[in-house]
Parts: sequence; C-alpha cells; structure tokens
Amino acid sequence: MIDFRFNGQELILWIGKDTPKEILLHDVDNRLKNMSTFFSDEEGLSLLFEGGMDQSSLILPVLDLLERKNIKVRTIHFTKPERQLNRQISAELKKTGDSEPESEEQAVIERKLKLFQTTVRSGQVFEYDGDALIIGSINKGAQVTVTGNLIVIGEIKGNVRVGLYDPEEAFILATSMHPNIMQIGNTFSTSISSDELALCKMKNGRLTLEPITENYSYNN
Amino acid sequence: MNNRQVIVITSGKGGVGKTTITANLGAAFANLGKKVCLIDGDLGLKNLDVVLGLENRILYTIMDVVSGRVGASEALVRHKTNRNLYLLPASQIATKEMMTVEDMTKVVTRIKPDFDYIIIDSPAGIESGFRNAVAAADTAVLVTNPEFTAVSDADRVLGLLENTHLGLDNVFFILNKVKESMNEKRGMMKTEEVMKTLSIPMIGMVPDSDEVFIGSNRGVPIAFEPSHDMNKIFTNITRRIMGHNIPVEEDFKLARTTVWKLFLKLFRS
Repeated sequence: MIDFRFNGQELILWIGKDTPKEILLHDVDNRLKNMSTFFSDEEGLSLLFEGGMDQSSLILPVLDLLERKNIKVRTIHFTKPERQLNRQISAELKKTGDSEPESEEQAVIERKLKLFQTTVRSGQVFEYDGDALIIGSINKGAQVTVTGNLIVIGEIKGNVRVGLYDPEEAFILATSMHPNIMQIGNTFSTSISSDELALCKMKNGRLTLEPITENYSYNN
Repeated sequence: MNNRQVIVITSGKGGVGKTTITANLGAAFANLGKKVCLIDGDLGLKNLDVVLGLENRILYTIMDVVSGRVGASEALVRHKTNRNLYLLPASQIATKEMMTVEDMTKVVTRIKPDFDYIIIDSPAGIESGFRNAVAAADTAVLVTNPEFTAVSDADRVLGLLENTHLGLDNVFFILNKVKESMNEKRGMMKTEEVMKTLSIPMIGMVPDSDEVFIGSNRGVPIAFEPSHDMNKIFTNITRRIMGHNIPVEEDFKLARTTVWKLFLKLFRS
C-alpha cells in the first residue's frame, strides 16, 4: 500500500507496512507512471517507510526504481505513526468481518510520550518524531516540530508545528501560549494567545483554543 | 588556582554595557586585591582602553602578541592608579577575522599563570569575534538590559553557549541599566520575566545610572570610587563569581537606594 502526502515542505511517498516487495514495486511503478517530468531537478520526493527499520530491505529496490524514472529522492524517513496504523488495521479487520474485540485490542500499539527538560532558546531547532512533553519554555525565535502531540509545562513564544501525520487528532497543550506561528498539520494560525492552561487543536479546518478549566471535558 | 579564572563578558546585542561592566568588574576584582587582566576582544572597535582611561598608554596590541612581534608582558598596560589591574588592548586597525580561536587560546594560556582573573570583553554579535572570546573562557557572564530585543539576543547567545565547552552550568547573567519603574509600569519587561526567559542564575543587577556613564567617559570606572553604592554592587558581583553566597536581593536594595538618591538629587537641583 502506498500513498502520496504533502507536509507543507516536501512531497512524501508513504510506503505502508508489510507490503510484499513485488506488489510495492508494481504500485510505485503504476503511480509514478508519466510523472518523471513532474519533478524538477532540485525537487524530487521523500520516502516514508512505515514500520521503521523493518522495512529497510525495501529501500534499495525502491531507490533503483525511482532512479530509473529520473526521480530524485531527498530524504528517507522511518516512522511508526501508530494511529494511522490502528485505523488501517481496524478498517481491514472490518472488511474481513473479523472484528473481534481482542483483535482490535491487539492492534493498539502503545504511544510513547518522551519527556524533555529543556528550554528551547532563540535560534534553536527542536524536532521529535512522536509525542513530546517539554518541561521548560519555548522562547521567541525557537522552532519546535513534533510529529505527534505536544505538551509544554511552560510558555510557548516561538514557532510550533505538530501533527504531521494525523492533524485531525493532534493537539498542543501549554500553560501559556503566545507563539508567532502555531501549526497543526498544514493549518496554521498567527493569532493564538492564552495566558492560562489551554489546548489548541483543529476544529472545522481551523485552529481553536480551549482553556482548560476545572470542569473541562475533552470532546474530540 | 580557581575554576572560574577566565571570564568572558558577552551579550549578543550591542550597546547593553559589556565594556562598562568589564571595566567595573575588573576594577572591583582589583580592589579586592586580585591581580586582573582585561582583554579587549573587540578588534577593530576597541573601547575598553577608553573606559579605563588608558588609551594614551598603548604601545602594542593583542595582534602584536598573536603575530609574535612582542611578548604578552610587553603588550600589557598596567593601570595608572590601581596597580593590580592590567589591560591587553585590541588593535583598532585589525579586523575580527584576523584572529583565530587558537590565537586567543594561546594568548590566554600564556598569561594565565600571572593573573588571578582574566576578563575578556567580547564584541557584539555571534560571529568570529564572539567565538574567539568564548573559546578560552571557563565562565561566561551574559549582560542584558530589560528590553525584549536585548533579552531575545541574550537567549540566542545562550543557545550557542549551551553547545560549547561551557554548557549552561558556567553561564550567568547580569541585568544592566535597570530602571526603578520597570517592575511597576505596564509594557516594561519585569525582572522575573527576564529571569524566566533566560532561566540561568542572575549574578547582579546594575541600575541605570548617569554616574556610570560619566565614569566611562572620564576613563575612571565607578567601581574605583570606594564610597559609591555602585561600587558595592560590582563588589557583590565579583564575590558571587568567586563563589560567595550573597543574595541578589542585596543588589535590588542597593539599586533602589541608588535610583532614589539620583531622583532626590534631581529634585533638589
């Protein structure tokens, strides 16, 4: 299974997990048919292998194929976007009618939240693939990119970008937010501002801010 | 020998008072009986000699030492009144690119055994001059003003220092040109705000004082005047660098009295 995605900066060819090599190459070949002139010399595309390094045996054949098609590869990413994987597995289970609760439970992969005790300072770039909890502030001029969700016990004043894979479900939670730009997926806002604990997420294609009060209940 | 012997005074933004702080800290260390050498790291835009009133005594500069024309002892200028204070001047005609990190490290290593403290006045900016000044230091003192631009630049410098041999454990900051009104007026940056943004220890608060300017213009740093309150502030800062535990709140009180004295003086005149 393959798909094309755009993260705002680059075009990514997403390669799903557990796709047999022959089917994968056939799919790539089909999808890229007549597309060699679409990419300029500088552009090209990036590859995203879901399932991490387990997929490494597929890299060389895919690179060979793209080279034959004169398509330049910019970066190769490996990741495990668990939520998408869950959805995909759930959908497949439904399709086959094998929707026993145990199977769905087995499909749930634990999302790991990583803790960072740091102040991200002006001019510094912080990037993390997954969910991040930052204890410290994101100062003006800093740039933070997190592919999952972001929780900040501190102040956000710099540029923040989250939810690269799953923008609809991604959120930013912080004790105060005055960022220059806040971006979830490809949607951004320059007017997010809050002096109290608040949650920023996507709603109807726009970024919204919800103050977290005592009686707050999370409605997705 | 102590572990805070070579101190670099830096800021990122220009005009925050690095050179004045360098001169006054040097004077305060010298007053405490320490043998101090101040190095002007601002090649091409030297000012430290003027602030110390030594511009007419310069024969050789740090560039002459780097090129090997003279030894470091020949280039050092001894202060005319305080004999514990020395200056290694910068050249006005040289550019920052004419010196390398290795050159600065070599010079500092050569003079280190002869002094208790060496204070390097870094140029503004984050280019080669800054890198040279930081390379030989074991402690950095960041000078900033209670302004958004100065604090933001200081934060940028901190990010760079974090990735050097200094780390953040050897970096402190001084809040310079503090105004009495800053903690009350809206729109002014408050002390707590600066501390929160930089999140490193503050080792001093220097009030915005005309007398500091006058001292710099006259070539007699205010820290040379023993009776002045500002002298106590600089002495407190030097003691903190030496490892004494003196709360910064003391500077707050001194800052307050100094500003009030100035206000009363203006009111009476």
